[in-house]
Amino acid sequence: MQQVKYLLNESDMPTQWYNILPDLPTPMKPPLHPGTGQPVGPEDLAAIFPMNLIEQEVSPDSWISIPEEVLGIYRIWRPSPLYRAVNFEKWLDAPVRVYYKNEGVSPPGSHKPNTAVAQAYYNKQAGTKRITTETGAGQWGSALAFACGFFGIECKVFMVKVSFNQKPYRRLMMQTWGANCVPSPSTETEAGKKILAKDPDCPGSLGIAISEAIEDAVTSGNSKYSLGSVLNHVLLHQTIIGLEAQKQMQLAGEYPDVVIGCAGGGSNFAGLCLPFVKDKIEGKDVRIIGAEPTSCPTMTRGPFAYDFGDTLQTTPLLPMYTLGHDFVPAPIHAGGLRYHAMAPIVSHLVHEKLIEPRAYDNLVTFETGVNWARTEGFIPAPETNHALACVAEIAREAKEEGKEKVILVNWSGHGIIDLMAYDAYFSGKLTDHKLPEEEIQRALAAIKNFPPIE
Amino acid sequence: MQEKTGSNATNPEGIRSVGTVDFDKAIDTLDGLEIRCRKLGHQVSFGYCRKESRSLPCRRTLDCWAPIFPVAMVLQRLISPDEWKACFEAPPPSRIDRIVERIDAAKALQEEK
Repeated sequence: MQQVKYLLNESDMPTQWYNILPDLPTPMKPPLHPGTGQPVGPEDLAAIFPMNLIEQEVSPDSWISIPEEVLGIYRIWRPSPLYRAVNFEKWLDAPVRVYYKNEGVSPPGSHKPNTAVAQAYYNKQAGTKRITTETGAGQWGSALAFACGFFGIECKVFMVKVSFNQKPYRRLMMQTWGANCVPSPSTETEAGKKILAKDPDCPGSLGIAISEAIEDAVTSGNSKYSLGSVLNHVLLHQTIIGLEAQKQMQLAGEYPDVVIGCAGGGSNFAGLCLPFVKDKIEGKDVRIIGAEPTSCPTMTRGPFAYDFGDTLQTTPLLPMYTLGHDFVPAPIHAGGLRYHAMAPIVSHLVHEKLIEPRAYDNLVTFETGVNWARTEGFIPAPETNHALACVAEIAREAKEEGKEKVILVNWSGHGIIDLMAYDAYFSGKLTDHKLPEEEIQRALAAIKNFPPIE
Repeated sequence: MQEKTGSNATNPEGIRSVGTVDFDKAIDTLDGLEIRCRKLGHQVSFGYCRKESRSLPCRRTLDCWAPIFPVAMVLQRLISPDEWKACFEAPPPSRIDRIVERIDAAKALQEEK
């Protein structure tokens, strides 16, 4: 009988998070304050983050104990199961054994509460009564709403208006868990009011929602702000994924040749891979791959534009785009590069060649996701499909090479609330290059003859 | 859609009313196209992307839409060179930069109050 699930007892759940900062082969450069040019210090962030989280952000300790109160809430869905994707393996028809860590079993349906619960706890310890945040489709907002409820903390979520109108289910999840979710721009902040005065129909943006959430946190009493990706302490809290997976792979009697995750802001990917990066630094032969979209890649096409974080100023400020009819990626030679919107730790590891980025287009990812759903049953989140597309590619390579490979992938969340994205795929709206081709060509033919605005 | 005739350079009313081409209709066609936004996590239209940043394009518009149509060519006709520079040639701040800037702005607002 082929075992499918590898389960840990609750008593075997890791009791410490892993902090990679002290183990990095080369140290990360600190972010610089855009106004002063000096390294961002605790005092710069203290207005919106509690000091205990700021301390974690720069901690020199490799291991940080998970408080019992956090473990208690984690136990609702953790340890999350590790599955062997035996049916997907048959579809792949390649010499691979695929294991996936199912983070979709959390109440909000993704990996996000791993840090949301921790952040709510540390805020509670610091005396915070109220937490603000921003959200797009609502994955992060719903995770934070869920977490704040356990600690009696008021949660205010500024949800981008276009998302608020388009994604009612996560908004309702937030409300169900007791959060106050408002469309952004709102009339509740000066930033929002200013924008609405200019454009009452403004559909909002993540940038505006961040401004509102931060303004609210800074100007309201006993309030702090919370972020669900990018920051070091967020990635730290997510490492429980990889630490559990290491124990479960031992139960399966395997060690992965390839570790894969989808990389948006980097938190779920880092959560699975950082403990394996530690192994790699210590000499293990393991490939670690971050999968991202070909449209708008942050890692595979190199730094998005500029690096202001290079203290030596060795990175030239090169524009990535020209004013010509197409864009030209800038050649980048200097170290210490940062990738726009990607977690600095992940950017650093890419630069150190400890992590390999790959990019996949929408159609391939959804095609793989649908085949996953038809073989393994669980419907993946659209972001998770990027990681699955990478699994399929590695499997094809293994077949071509005639080599067996053990693949571990982070199944970062389910797609039940993202079925409209699947609808767009099934109805051909994601057929990027074919759908409106004729209309596009007609429009472009007309526009082409107009001169640029001068 | 009709083909362009005549020289728009001589038209005092600007390019939107040049010749017989319905420029706005052409843009409407493109505005209706949809793509999955990796920032927001759902489908958005090109019409949203090109005005996302306080009526100017999202910084990622070129990257996201370039595989679908010559977006740079279209945007050059919709925004000025200065706006282009601000959108695509100015250094994009990192997330930390943005947060720190917003903290400072909020603190200043609080002091004003």
